[in-house]
Parts: sequence; structure tokens; C-alpha cells
Amino acid sequence: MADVDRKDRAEVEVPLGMVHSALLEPFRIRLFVDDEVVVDAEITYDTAHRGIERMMEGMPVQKGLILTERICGICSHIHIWNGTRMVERGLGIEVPQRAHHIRVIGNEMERLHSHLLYLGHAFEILGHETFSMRCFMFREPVQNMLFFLSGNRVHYTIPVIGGIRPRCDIDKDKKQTLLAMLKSLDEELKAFGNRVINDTLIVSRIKDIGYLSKEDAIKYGALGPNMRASGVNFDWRIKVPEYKDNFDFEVIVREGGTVLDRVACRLFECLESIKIIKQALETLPDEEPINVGYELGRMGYSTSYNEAARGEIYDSCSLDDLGRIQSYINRTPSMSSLSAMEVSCIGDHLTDATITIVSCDPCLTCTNRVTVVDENKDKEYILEPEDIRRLARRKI
Amino acid sequence: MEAKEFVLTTIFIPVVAFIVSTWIPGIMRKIQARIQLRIGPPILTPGFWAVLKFIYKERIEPVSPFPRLYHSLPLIGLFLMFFIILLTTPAWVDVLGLTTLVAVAGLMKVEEMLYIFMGNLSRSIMSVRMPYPDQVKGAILKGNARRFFEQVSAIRTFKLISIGSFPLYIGLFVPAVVTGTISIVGVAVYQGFNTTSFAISDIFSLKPLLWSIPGVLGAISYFIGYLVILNEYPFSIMHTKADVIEGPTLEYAAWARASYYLMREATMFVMSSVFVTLYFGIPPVLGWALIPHVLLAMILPVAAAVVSAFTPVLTFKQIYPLSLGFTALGIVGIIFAIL
Amino acid sequence: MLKEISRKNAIHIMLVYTGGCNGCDIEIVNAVLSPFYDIEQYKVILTWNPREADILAVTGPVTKKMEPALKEIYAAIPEPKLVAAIGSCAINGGPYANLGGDLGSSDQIVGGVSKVIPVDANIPGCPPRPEDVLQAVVSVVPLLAKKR
Repeated sequence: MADVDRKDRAEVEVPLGMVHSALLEPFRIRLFVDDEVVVDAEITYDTAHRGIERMMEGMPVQKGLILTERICGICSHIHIWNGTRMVERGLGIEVPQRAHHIRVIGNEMERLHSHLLYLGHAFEILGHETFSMRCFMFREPVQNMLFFLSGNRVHYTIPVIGGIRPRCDIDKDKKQTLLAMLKSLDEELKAFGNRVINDTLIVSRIKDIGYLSKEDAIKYGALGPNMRASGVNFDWRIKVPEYKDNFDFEVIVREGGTVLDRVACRLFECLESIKIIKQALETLPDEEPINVGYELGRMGYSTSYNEAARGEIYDSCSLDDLGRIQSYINRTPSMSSLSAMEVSCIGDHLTDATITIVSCDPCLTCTNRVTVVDENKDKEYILEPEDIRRLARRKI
Repeated sequence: MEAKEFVLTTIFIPVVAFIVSTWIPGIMRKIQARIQLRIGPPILTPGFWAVLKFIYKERIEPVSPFPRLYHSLPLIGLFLMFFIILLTTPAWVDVLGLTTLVAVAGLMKVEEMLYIFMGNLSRSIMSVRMPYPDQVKGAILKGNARRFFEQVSAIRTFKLISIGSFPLYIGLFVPAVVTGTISIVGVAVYQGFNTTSFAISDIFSLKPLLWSIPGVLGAISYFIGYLVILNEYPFSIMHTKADVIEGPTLEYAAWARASYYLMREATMFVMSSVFVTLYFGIPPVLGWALIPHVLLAMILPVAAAVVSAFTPVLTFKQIYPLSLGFTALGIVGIIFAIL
Repeated sequence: MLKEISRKNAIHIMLVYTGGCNGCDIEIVNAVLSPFYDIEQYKVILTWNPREADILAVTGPVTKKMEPALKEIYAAIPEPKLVAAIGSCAINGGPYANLGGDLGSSDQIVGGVSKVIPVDANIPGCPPRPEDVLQAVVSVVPLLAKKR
């Protein structure tokens, strides 16, 4: 852990990024090393800031929700779903059960492809090109399924307020095809997971590095699979009624807190996702997928939490009389997960530090859109990375 | 006759090594691609056409304290490699007293040292020079010196030289212990090689060192040493994509990069060729007997490609025990040889 | 002659993400390079070193933080070089370029890639399909071969 004595011994600083083969997305890591052992780390992520929340200000809500999807190209569905869900909660709009099912299918497929992407990326950084290619090979059928379901490989735009888009509706043929696609994936993934967990060299690389204890995970706010890999048993899916009422699944919790656990946690979650998609497809109710009988109007402050592939996602906004967005807030999991990784990579070798940081599945384009509105002073300001760090790590 | 053979060998053996070595990266890449269930690039693309393309690119002054020295390092490496393969030819045995295993080991050491120089002379845009205002923001640790990726790689190369190349040297000297001579041609002669006349049909009458217990153990540690000196996966921590991107060679552009590619390809071939000379008893000689030599020299790159497709990059945590373990294996081979 | 053949037979491509939404980036790195599409069979090799690259593929709108880095990386690539702007955001800034109405232009975004460095090929789409990217790369190769 970060003890003060070691910090004094930092020899040099090795900056990584913004354009780097391991990070892919533009962000900057400063690693302070003693010989090659990391004694302190600092992650700066403001290069992908595009001001999307500012753009949404005053937009009609239907238009603004489509823009939420452009926050991220990996977890695009959960952004639009959570935004839609928030508006529906705020205005009390009835949503047909069929729409809920299809939204869940979209989210679980997204989780599948995001986790497979994560695994592929992690193996690429470990230098194991074959496994990484294998993961991308698994991911391609999932992308095809999403394409088949919605008509786009990345930005699917499945939900609209009141239900789902009719083009994303699942008829009988579609259902059969999707089930057939899922079946082979399930078996192959299980075999692949076994192979990964039993590969001596891979396990020796990721076994004891990047340790994040349960206390630290809570303290620094690691979210999603990172948190669950450290032994914190929490998943928004057991609270969100769309999941809780309809589907039977397990929350994967591992006690280790190392990179191995984070990888394994995601591998098992993939299998759970397949289970949920199968259930959702089989129990799809037969009804209209969209409820168009609603009226937009003034909406007070409304919030929604949900479980994205990377962890907890939070949206909130209010609407004015004409249904235009006011002060949209979107909080994504990567930010606090990264600050947890800042701590957990301390004490490891330089090469292990990058895999640790990547093992929290950072999604930088989601991150850095924090706007703090101070009610008393009546002004808003963007939280700079050093403020985040101060709040998240040093002051606590 | 002697003088003529010497001149012809000196000219043609490096040319053959040069031509053959341009195929090796392509073959390795193709094997890896096939293991990864994809088609992969054509065999000549990574080794030959890429080199040619780089020669035709615009010449750029590298960002380096000594640009000319930095640019000349891969050429030095290339000539070192050709020198090594010439030292293993029977034609050179009377000319210089250098045709021993000790000389080869020493030249390989120099080859490894080149990476340290490269690393210390390169200042790439991808590391410290990346324009980003993060120093003004400050961290807890203020005022630390900043280290380029290349310098990190240089440190790693140093560690690899001190620990990682033990298996290679053990693998080089197992034949010497078995045969009782450090002369390379002497090792080949021990295995039945005839220096005056050697035809393809004689190959089947050879008694290769590889088919003995010390030979097998020595060959295994030589193979690990081969991976280390090539910095091939799994020992590619010097230029792993995870942190240092390409390490010492980041600043090479245009013809300098072409010469770096050639140096690497030559290393792949020559190291393998030395292995064939020592363990199969077929040194590179002019004539038809060169063909089996070249074919056998493909064994190590192909094996390296297969191994590297199934291993992650190892950090020093794994490299130290692995390297020492294989060194111990080589020492067991030497003990067997003495017994 | 030999020059053109060699350029057609080995193409190194470098990617720079300038703050896009990850959609185009992932489609290129993880779909086009994956075994399913495998761009390496068309002799295109991924690199992370500007000194080695021929084609610079840029995705996403250029944020102001990324602008100097992008310029430096472009300058580091030796001639001949091409720049491909991949995705709507890289072509003209997408939804971020001009916020419209009273908001005016964005504070965070410079705009499309062509405002920072010269662009030779535009690949539209949000995100472009892997097939489109493959086709674009293959069709851009003659341009590269003909250069000086």
C-alpha cells in the first residue's frame, strides 16, 4: 500500500499517454517509479471532454436522449436506457413489459460485448495475442446479434420514451435466430474461460498484482465488477425492478481483489448475461412494445440508477414546461474505478501497473463530465481532475 | 584454392543469410496468424516489402543527442551478425584465430549491448515529449526527473543481459564441453563433418549432438537464450506494447528503420544458423550443403513463433526464475557431458 | 516501379484517438484487426509508432487538449503519409462542432481533423462499418503509392 517512506524514494517519473498502445483512449498516466516499481500513480483524464451535458441543455428531451448515446461507443445502450428510464420515472409513464424485456436484452448483449472487448484488450496488454484474437472472435457474433437486433453495430438506439423503437422489436424469426446464435457462444465461452483460468503463464502474470482490498474498494469507490472482485456484494441489477422481478441470475462476487479476480469476474458475468438473454427471449410477452399515450411536460428532479457493464451509472435531470432538458447530469463508473486503480497499482512492476489500470476497464469518453452546481453561490463549474483527486483520495 | 574459397564464402554466405532472413518474419507472422484463426499478411510483407518501403521513405533527422551514432547502430548490428555467421564457416578457420565459441559469445554480447545504446540515444515523441500540460498541475511528488520509455527499455535490456542471456551461453558451451574444443568447426568435425568435401548425402552419416542427452538439454537452453536475445515473446519486456511501446527503436524512421529490420532479421537467422552448426554439425559451406543448413535454420524461428503465440509477456518476476531454471538445465547437460 | 510495389505491399497504419466516443476506435482496432475481418491479409499492419507509420487514422472530434499532440504526431511521420479521418466526428466534428443556436461553437472541440492537419480520406458513418473501413483503406493505397 501507499506508505510515505516508499514515496520519498521515487526516483523518476514515467509518463504514459496520451497516445499509447496500452491505453488506446487518450488519457495520461504519470507513474512514479523506484527502479521499476511503482510508488505512486496519477491518472489525468480530461482529454476526451466534449461538453455533452452542456449541449443537452435546453434540447427537447427526445433529441437529447439520443445524444446521451454518443457519450460512449461501448456502453451506448445503457446511457440511453438509463436516461429514458429516468424520464419515465419522473413523468410516471407506463412502459409495456415487452419493452422492458427487449431493453434488458440490449443491455445484456452490450455487457457481453463490452466484457469480451475488455478481455481481449487485457490479453493484448498481457502480450497474449492469440487469446486476445480469440476474444475478438467471440465478440464478433455478439456484434452481429446486436446488428441483427437493432440495425447498427455500435449505436443501437433501442429505447425511446414509452417503450422501444419498432425496428428493434423481436418477432418470432428473430427470436429463433438469436437463440441459435447464443447457444454456440455459451459453450465456446465456457471452454475458453476454462482455458484462461488454467493457463499457468497467464495466471502467473495476473495472480498477485493490482491488489485492492475490500476497504479500499469501498473507500475509493471502485464500482461494478471491480468492486465485486474485491468482495463487495452489490449489483444494481438486484435492485432495478426490470431485472429483479423477471429474471433469475447470480451476482458474481470474488474475494481476491487482484487482476485475476477482475478478469475472472467478467468471464463469469458473461455467462450470467447469456443466461439472462435466454430467459428474456423465452419469456417475451406478446404485446405492443411501445406506449405512445403519454404527454411530456414539466418534470421535477428525477434520477435513475442502473448497472452498466462497468458498474453503477447515474443519470438525473429535470424538464421544463415544453419538455426541454435542464441540468442533465450523467455519472459513469470509470471515474471512481480509476481512482481506485491509482491506489491498487502501487507496489507493482511498471508493466504490471498498466495491466492493473486497464483491468478496471476504463472508459474515458464516459468520464470527465462532472459538473458541480453550487446552489448557494448560484454557479456551476466543471470538476477538474485535481479536485476529483482531492475529494476522492487525499482528503478522506 | 584456399584464397578463392575464402573470398567466395565471405561474399556469398552473408548474401544468402541476407536473402533468407527477409523471409523469416513473414513466416513467423503467418504461423502466429494461423494459430489466431486468421489469414495473416503475405510471407514477404513484414520482412521484405516493409524494408524496401522504408528505404524509399523520406529521411528524417531523429530526435537524439547523437543522431548519426543512433542511426549507425543497427548497421553495426547487421555487420556483427554477418561476422558471426562468417566465423562459423570452415573457410575462415585458418584465416583468423577468432573462429571459436568465445568469439561468438562475445559478439552476441555486443549485439545485446547495442540496445542499451539505442535506448539511451532516443527521445521519442510518444513518451516525455508528448505535449500535455500535466506538470503544471502537480502531484504529491514534485520535481522528479522524467524518464523516456527508451531509457526504461535500456534499463530492462541491462537486466536481461545480466540474467536473461545465461541460457544462451550455457547452450553455446555445452557442445564445447562435449567435444572438448572451443573451435566451432572442431565441434562440427566431432559430429562427423568433413571439412574437405561435404555433399548432401553425407548428412545422413552425421551423428548430431542433438541426439544425445547433453545435446537436448543444451538445445533447450539455447532456444530460451534465442528468445531472450531476439526479445521475442515471452521475453519481449524490453519492447512490450504494455508500457514502452517499441522501446529503443522508437525513433528509427525511413532507411534507419529498414536497417533495424534487417538487423533483427539477420539476428533471427544467424542465431539459428549457429545452432545448426553446433547441434547438427552442418556449418554453412558453399555448395548444395547450404540448403539443409538453411532449412534446419528455420526450426528455431518456427518454434519461436509457436511459443510466442501462446505466451504473454513475462515480467522480471517470471524471467529471473525461468532464466535461472533453464540455466540449471544447461548445467545439468554439462554435467552429463562430463560424465 | 519497385517503390510503388513495395508501398502497396506493406502499409503501416497508426491510430490516434482524439476524444471520440470509442465507437469508431473500437470498430477499427477490435473489429477490423480481429480475425473476422483481419486487415493484415490486405498487407496493412498496425503500429503505435509515428516514425513507422504511413497512414494516420484519426477518430473522433479533435479536442483542444489533443490538438498539439495530434500536430506533433503528424509531424513525426516521415513522407509519404496519408491521413484518414474516420467517422462523422473526425470529418466535421459531428454533433460537437457547432452547438447551434445561442450556444455558438464549442469550447472544448476544435472541430474536424481537417482543421488541424490535412486530411486525404474521409470515411463517413457513425460509426463506419468495418467493411467500409476495409474498402477505404484498400482504395487509399494507390494514393500512397503514387506519392513522390
